[in-house]
Amino acid sequence: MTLQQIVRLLQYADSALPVGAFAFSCSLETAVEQGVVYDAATLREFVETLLRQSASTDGIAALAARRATLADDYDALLTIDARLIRCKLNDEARQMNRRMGRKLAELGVQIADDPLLVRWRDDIVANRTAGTYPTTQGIIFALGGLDAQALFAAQQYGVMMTTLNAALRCLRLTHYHTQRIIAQLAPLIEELYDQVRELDTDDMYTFAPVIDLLAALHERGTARMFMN
Amino acid sequence: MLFELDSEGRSVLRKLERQTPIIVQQELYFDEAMPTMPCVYLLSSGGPNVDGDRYEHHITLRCNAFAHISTGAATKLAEMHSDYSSLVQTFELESGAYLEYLPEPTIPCRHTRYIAATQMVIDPSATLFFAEIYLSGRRYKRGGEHWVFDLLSIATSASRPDGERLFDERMVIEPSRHSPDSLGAMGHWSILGNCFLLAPEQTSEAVYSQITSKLDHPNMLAIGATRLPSHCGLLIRVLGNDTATVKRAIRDLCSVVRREVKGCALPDEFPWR
Repeated sequence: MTLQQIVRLLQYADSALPVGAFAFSCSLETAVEQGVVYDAATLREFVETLLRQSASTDGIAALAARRATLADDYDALLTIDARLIRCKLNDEARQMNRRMGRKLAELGVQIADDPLLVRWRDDIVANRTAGTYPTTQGIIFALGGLDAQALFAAQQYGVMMTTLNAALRCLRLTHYHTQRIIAQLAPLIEELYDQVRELDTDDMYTFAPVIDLLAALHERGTARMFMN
Repeated sequence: MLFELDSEGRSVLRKLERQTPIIVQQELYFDEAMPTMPCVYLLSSGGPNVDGDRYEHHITLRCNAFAHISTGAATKLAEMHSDYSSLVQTFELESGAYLEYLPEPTIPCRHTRYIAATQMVIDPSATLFFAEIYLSGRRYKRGGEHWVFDLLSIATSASRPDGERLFDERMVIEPSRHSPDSLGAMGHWSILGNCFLLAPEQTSEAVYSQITSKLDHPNMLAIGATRLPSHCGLLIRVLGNDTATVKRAIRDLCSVVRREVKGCALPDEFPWR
């Protein structure tokens, strides 16, 4: 990886990337409200489950989108995007994906004026495709010359940071706790990459009924500092 | 199975093809709230599902037909050593059709490997309430089995008759890889009720407004409803630790749906079920 690529990876993976991640908590807000998550240990376990679920859905889709972009297969991108939004059964999870995906596409066009990305952004704006965040991430990483591992790491890191940043506002924890959780879960990301790297969008799977339930509770809940 | 209306507006089981060991009981009209609705129990005379079993159910409801389908008892998935067992189900509902599909729970055993794939093809004006229940294992076997099966893969997807795809879900539970007891997965819950309501948007919104999503620890029950993609209906997760409580909650949900679509509630469940 060149220095330029490393800087690009840091830029795309930064939790300060202006795609609106700060507005979401990945159901943590309700998990805290309901007493499911209440300290560093329960937070770590919750984030671990989130990582596992997103690896076998969003992670697979992002990697597939990167491959499709490199093959210049635009139709495949549309298929991946449609397939991913169809497996987002929670209303607010779909909203999060669409909003952040659109923001990322708009941002990407500003950074790199690539015709494929412009077409992608236009199709999202015209509602011809959902424009999910992982699909858009895959496109941007492919165009930026970043490899599959970098993409997967950024995708997983994004899920962790969105949730942990929300945790700092929902729970009585310090930055030391959240930074330790990142370090503890890093080896898991390696393991998850090996599990999903050769899978395709038809293989996507998930199993997190409690998180689904928390997402449902959030829709009409009273704690709504975050959008999910 | 194919259901349709007869000349008097009664819904009838018009076509039935079955292969041993599946038994389809004679349709009965025992539902006092809907006396013209056929109620059918699907049974298997072969005992629990064993390695190599490949079951299929294909159920069609023609225009405006209506039916209630259940199973006679829980589906047991045996211990498996060399292969897996599967169930492929298709539901096809034409315009205005109405189906309640409320099978008894599915119980996996130690080393069970099971794949279930359900495909629903539904007209925008039809209503399907599909509710399945999975237990974590044989609760009273050798001190209680809890997530000791090898693999459960439960896929559910829906589309319109013109081919438009609505949603796809694939749950894969592999306890040796990641414990379902994990926080965020099943946590301390051991029974999963997986309910899909596919209905016109007006109906599903009316049902959604009547469901109170809750994590009710004293009653050991959790219910959460969310809107499915493409405005096609609702996903409702029901979690519990007691089969009867989960079954009752699901019947209550079905009753809300029936009141919205057919204007009447579900009668009380038979005391022996």
